[in-house]
Amino acid sequence: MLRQLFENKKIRIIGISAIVLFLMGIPWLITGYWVRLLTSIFMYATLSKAIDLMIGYLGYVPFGNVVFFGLGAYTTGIAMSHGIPFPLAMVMGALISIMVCIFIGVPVLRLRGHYFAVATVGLNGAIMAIALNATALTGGAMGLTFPVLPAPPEIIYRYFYYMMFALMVAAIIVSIIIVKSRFGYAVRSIKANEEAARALGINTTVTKTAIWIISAIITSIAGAIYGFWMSYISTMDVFNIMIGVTCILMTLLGGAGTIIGPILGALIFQFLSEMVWSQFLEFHLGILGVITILVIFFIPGGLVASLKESFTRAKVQHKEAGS
Amino acid sequence: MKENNAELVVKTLSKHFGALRAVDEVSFEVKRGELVGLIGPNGAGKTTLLNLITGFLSKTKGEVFFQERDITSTTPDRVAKIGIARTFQITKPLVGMTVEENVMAGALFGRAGRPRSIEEARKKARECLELTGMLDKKDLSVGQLTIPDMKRLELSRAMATDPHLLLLDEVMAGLRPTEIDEALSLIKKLNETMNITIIFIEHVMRAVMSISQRIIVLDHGKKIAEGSPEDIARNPLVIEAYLGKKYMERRKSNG
Ligand SMILES: Nc1ncnc2c1ncn2[C@@H]1O[C@H](COP(=O)(O)OP(=O)(O)O)[C@@H](O)[C@H]1O
Ligand SMILES: [Mg+2]
Repeated sequence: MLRQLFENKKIRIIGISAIVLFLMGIPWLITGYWVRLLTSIFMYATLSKAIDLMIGYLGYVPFGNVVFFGLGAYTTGIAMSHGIPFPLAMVMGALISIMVCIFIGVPVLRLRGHYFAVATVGLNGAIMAIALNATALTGGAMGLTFPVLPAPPEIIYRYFYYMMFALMVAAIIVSIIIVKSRFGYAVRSIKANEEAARALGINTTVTKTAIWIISAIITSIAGAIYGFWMSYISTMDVFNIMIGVTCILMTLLGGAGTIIGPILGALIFQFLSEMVWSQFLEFHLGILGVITILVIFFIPGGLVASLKESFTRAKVQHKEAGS
Repeated sequence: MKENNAELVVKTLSKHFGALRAVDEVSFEVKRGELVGLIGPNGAGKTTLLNLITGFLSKTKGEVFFQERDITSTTPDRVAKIGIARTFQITKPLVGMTVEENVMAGALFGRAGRPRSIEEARKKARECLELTGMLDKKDLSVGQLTIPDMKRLELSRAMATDPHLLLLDEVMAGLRPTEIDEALSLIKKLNETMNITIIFIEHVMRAVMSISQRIIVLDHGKKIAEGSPEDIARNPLVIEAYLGKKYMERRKSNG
């Protein structure tokens, strides 16, 4: 029954429109605290979507993908402190991320997945060190301050809420387009079997670098918005490897390689951490670890996959009962 | 050396793995439209030779030309794009994709895949699956396939790349006799009606003898014979390679 509802196109469109309208209207009805919480959920959802392009679709785990979050935030901050308007500064952050992907991706993505995973961590460390030491430009250990928007807090909260929301929607749409495209077939073929992909005429290095670039652009824009939102960033904050690791866990929890899996994972994780874990700060990471292990053991495909499975099972039982 | 109608020219090609000469100074030519069998005992170097031609392995020595173009150091994806398709002896299905999606991946890339839309690729994939008798299994995931069906999938996917030259590595292994006959007539059909030049590695001797126009024999990395099926069947070096020296000596003393 429920599955049929989901499969009906009309109902799906109505459902999605309702959710979008709800999320568009809600910041006018709730307090600043909730607006901020939702904004951070959108941010983690976006970052998880970006990382899932690599994990779920390509089969590579970029542990250090947060490097683009930091690059986006820092480039935007530095550019804005030189009077460049936010949209342009954001684009500059994305361009620098693209350049890093090409310089690093072409040599490193020739290698197999685990080398790539380690290389991204090294990359993050290296760029973080540069940001920390280029004091004249970045403020070094003092951190970097963004220009503050001249508006009352509630307006500013909503401003960033809508920006993060739009970015998340864009990330979802991008992933849907990719899956259905020729490029998506190339990416999925590489995940399935890299040698077979090459034998079919797929240029694997170019394809892998291209999907990494898409992931990096989304991540760096999220970083740009985050920096502007917080109005102060430090290297410890935006190059924090734990942001990437958390997003990987969110993706695995919700379901890697699915459209809404990473979103669902981010939603659950962020709510839990806000509602429950903030009471036990010291155990935060421990609980995170335990939940991850439980997820990997009991729902290896993530929540979305196991929900789908139980739908199918229900359908089969329904049929059997009927016949 | 490069004649006009030569589809593939292999010149003194070698591959050494340490001290092992897996392919040792092998030279041969295949003409456009030919159907050539490549045989030899296990470990003779047949698969390695195929990996060298398609760019999956670097060459210790030698050159490869395809349609008069030097492809000695061309990467596998480029090789596929200019029209050489291959199957893998140990099948490499695209796990996590359906049978149809596997073949669509071939139809979307390969030699003629670029201008195809997803729907055109689906159509092409179904045509290829129809030819190999796999159409009714198009929605299965590859994990559900039997070994012979995996081989058929490999063949369908290679065909979907619209090759000029098709390299088949033991696609008939594990098939039953009637299925082998079907596979043979399919290979003949691809060669004759679709004008695809084919080199096929096969262990089933009956199969090789029945459809090859020419046969190349490898043993210990070296080309030991080349000729028509009749010549090959009579060639003492070939018989020795397959049946051993003792058999030959016994035959001589008896005859
Ligand atoms: N990657 C490799 N590294 C080392 N030795 C290899 C490799 N590939 C093949 N060989 C060796 O090369 C020889 C030829 O192998 P192969 O080409 O697979 O033979 P065939 O396909 O004729 O059975 C064998 O002795 C095999 O063990
Ligand atoms: Mg072999």
